Amino acid sequence: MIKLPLSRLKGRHPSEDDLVDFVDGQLAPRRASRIRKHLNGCWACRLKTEETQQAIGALVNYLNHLPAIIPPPSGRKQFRAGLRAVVVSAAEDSAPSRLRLALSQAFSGSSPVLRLASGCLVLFLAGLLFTYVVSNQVSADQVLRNATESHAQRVQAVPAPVVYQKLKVKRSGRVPSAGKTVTWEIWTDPSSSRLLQYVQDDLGRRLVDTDTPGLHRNGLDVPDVLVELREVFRANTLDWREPLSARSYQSWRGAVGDKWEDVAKERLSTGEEVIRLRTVPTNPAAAGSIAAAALVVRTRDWHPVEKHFRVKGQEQDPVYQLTEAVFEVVSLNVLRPGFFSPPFLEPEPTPGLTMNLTRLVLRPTLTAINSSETGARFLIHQQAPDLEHQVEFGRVSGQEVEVRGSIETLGSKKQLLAALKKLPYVSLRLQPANDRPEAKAPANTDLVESGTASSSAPALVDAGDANTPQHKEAPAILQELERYFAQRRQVFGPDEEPGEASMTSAAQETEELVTRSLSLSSSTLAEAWALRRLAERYPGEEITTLDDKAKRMVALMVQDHLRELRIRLNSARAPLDPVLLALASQNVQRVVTRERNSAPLAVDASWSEKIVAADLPECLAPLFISVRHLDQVLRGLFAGGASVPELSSHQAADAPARSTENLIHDLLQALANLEVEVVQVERQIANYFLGDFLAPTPVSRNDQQDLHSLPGTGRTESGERSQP
Amino acid sequence: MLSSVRAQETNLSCLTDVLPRVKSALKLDEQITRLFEELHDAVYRYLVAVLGSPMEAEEITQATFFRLYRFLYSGQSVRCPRLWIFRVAHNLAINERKAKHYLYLTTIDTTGWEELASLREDPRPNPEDVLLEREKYQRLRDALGRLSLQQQQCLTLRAEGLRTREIAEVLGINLWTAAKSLRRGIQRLTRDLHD
Repeated sequence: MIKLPLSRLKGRHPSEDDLVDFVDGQLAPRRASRIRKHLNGCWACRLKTEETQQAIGALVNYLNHLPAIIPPPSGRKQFRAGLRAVVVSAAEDSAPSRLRLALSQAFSGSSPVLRLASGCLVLFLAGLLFTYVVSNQVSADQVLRNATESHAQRVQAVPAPVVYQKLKVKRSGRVPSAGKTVTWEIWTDPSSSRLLQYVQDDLGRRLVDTDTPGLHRNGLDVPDVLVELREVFRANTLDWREPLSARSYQSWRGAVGDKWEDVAKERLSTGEEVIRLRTVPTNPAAAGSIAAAALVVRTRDWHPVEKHFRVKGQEQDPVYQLTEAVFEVVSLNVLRPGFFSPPFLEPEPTPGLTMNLTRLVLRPTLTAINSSETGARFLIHQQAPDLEHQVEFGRVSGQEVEVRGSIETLGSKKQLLAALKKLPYVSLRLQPANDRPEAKAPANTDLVESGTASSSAPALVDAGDANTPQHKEAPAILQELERYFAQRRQVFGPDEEPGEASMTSAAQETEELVTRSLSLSSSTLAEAWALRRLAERYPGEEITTLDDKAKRMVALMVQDHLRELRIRLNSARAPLDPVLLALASQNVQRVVTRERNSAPLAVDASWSEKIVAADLPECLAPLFISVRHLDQVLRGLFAGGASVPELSSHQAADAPARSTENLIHDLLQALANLEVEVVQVERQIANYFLGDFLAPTPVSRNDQQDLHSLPGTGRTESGERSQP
Repeated sequence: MLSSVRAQETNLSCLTDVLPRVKSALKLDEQITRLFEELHDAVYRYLVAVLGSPMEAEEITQATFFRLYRFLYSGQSVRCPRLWIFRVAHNLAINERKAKHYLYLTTIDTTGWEELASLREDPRPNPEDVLLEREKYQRLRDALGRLSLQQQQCLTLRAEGLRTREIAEVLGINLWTAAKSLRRGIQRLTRDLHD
């Protein structure tokens, strides 16, 4: 609104400008009102305004008739044709042309200085954006070319390549099968054009007859969606052998005339960056032809991962979605012979097994199977050491490790079971304990080992009975022990802490010592059994079939058992040693003391010689014998000769004749020797595995966790780690 | 170890996503066509007045709407399409005019003037009226020709219904200059037509 000073309107004619503005309606209402009043009484001014209005009217009239006077040379039809061309070109328009457009707009209609400044700014911005534009903008042709080349390189990298592709096929639309996903597996041998296809849906997994897709060899129909898709592929020059390939997409795209295309970068829900190429033919599609298609290509390796088709139908347009689940290029050499000529009835996959590619078709190597078994052992050892005695490891068809057994609490081992299922070539046959007949001995001759404690370690069975020593045949040592505790009470008073209400008798103390000693001996023997089983599973040649990771697992398991064994031995020894020494005669004390002082050096020297040639059973067998000997001596001492289950020939012969003093001597000596032996074995095991690993053992707890990235072991970290 | 590639499950929105875009592109196409039919004559009039060449005026008119399509398709928005169109048309016309050194209104082809009578309300105009109309338009054209270019532009745009502020925006000049040019143009045109 134009404002004029009021003084100009007072007492005289309005200026010409005012009158023009009045006629043009540019004045403020108050000012216009004053002029209107003036015009009522002033003919001259009224004339001027009328002339101005006439001129304006004439101009408007002239301009309104100008198109009629000078008609446009072209009609609306030409404009529509031009606009259609713009629509197509705009869809293909790239960032550089948009930049050009922006530049042309920026350079037009401004002053030279502004143009120069804006030009510099635009050039600067263009420079900044150059890398982004060049690296991020890609044409549809480029996408397809890159994807095709990438696929070819990937296939050529494998000798005698066979392409395996697992696709999820889904169809949307108002059909009964809409939304259902069908798994489609395709094996293609590019060199010999062989093709093998499987389909899996609610009816199970079955072969697809590639010649007549409507039927198949098992007598079950191929899913409708696949039959329809086959027809779509056939009608639109798409390659059925490579349904997701860029080459197939290009063959269809090349056959389409005018089309609208769009290339856009997107990000999948997983964060994977992809390029989505969309092609929409502009010509109306006939029924059965593709009305729109999209190809999703992974940016990092130009690998197509999705394809979508909207197909022109009679009533509605169904959309087919093909999503890649697995893509592998494997060598024909690793496939079973006659892989492309499968039997008439393909066996259904065993329920419970993870249907991965490795299990389906590849022949596992001995190293792979053994390493998997070791992995399973290690998992059980770490997460549920209580299961080590309950499970067995067998082989199925020589190609799979089967973990069998009955465990007490299946529910609480869910994490372990889940971890075991992830291991390749491992299947689980674990049942709750109540399904198992009591005290059933393992009868499977195919077992790699027979690891049940009930059959292999009779000493453990005896442990329960040993807790209640039979006083009818009470050995002399028990009376001596009672006497010893009674005398000690008289001299030192009872051992109970001040404030203890009850005072145990000497007999109770004796029973407690015996029970505890026998119990610890049993558990030490259990660890020795575990070590022996482990050693027998991995003799010298066997350990070479493991990969490095599995070897490290074996080393860790052996070290864990040794550490536990040492801890339990020390626990048994702590209360027993002073009592036995007190009971022993001075002669025995002297002998034992001397032997203890000399034994470490002697044992050390003898063990050092074995280090070079030793294998695992050789390392651990003497230790097992020593532990068993200790257990037998202990039982011989506390339970009497009748309850000693197994003694070596000379021991068996001598046992009845041996006096209590001799047994005490034997026990003290066995304890001392075992202590040294355990340390030596730990050292030797460390040396044994040293050659296999870059890092010397022992392996730290962090390394243990790295092996499987699992939660912490079930083992207690009560003992210190052994040092080489 | 074989590496497995796991593609992610996505919904079927891919193509249902595409088609609306195509449809929206077509919709935009229709919108532009509608706008073209609505504003063509105004832009054409203005451009003829500025350029004098019907051929160039029509080309630039269409080019202006094509630009509007691209502009909107690229995702940018236009607050007032009418104003945007006049501004772009003006800029294109100025560029064209500078490039070809057009002289204002000197190349108008007046062959169509004879047909003017047929467009009048009276289907049987007498020759005298035709002559009078022709003289009137000739005088107006001459009078317009005597104005400065800016005055002509201001008057033409004002005749198309643009306010002074909008004229300033289209022509890229300030408000006072636009108002002054408009005022002077009207005064001079009035004088010329009534002298």
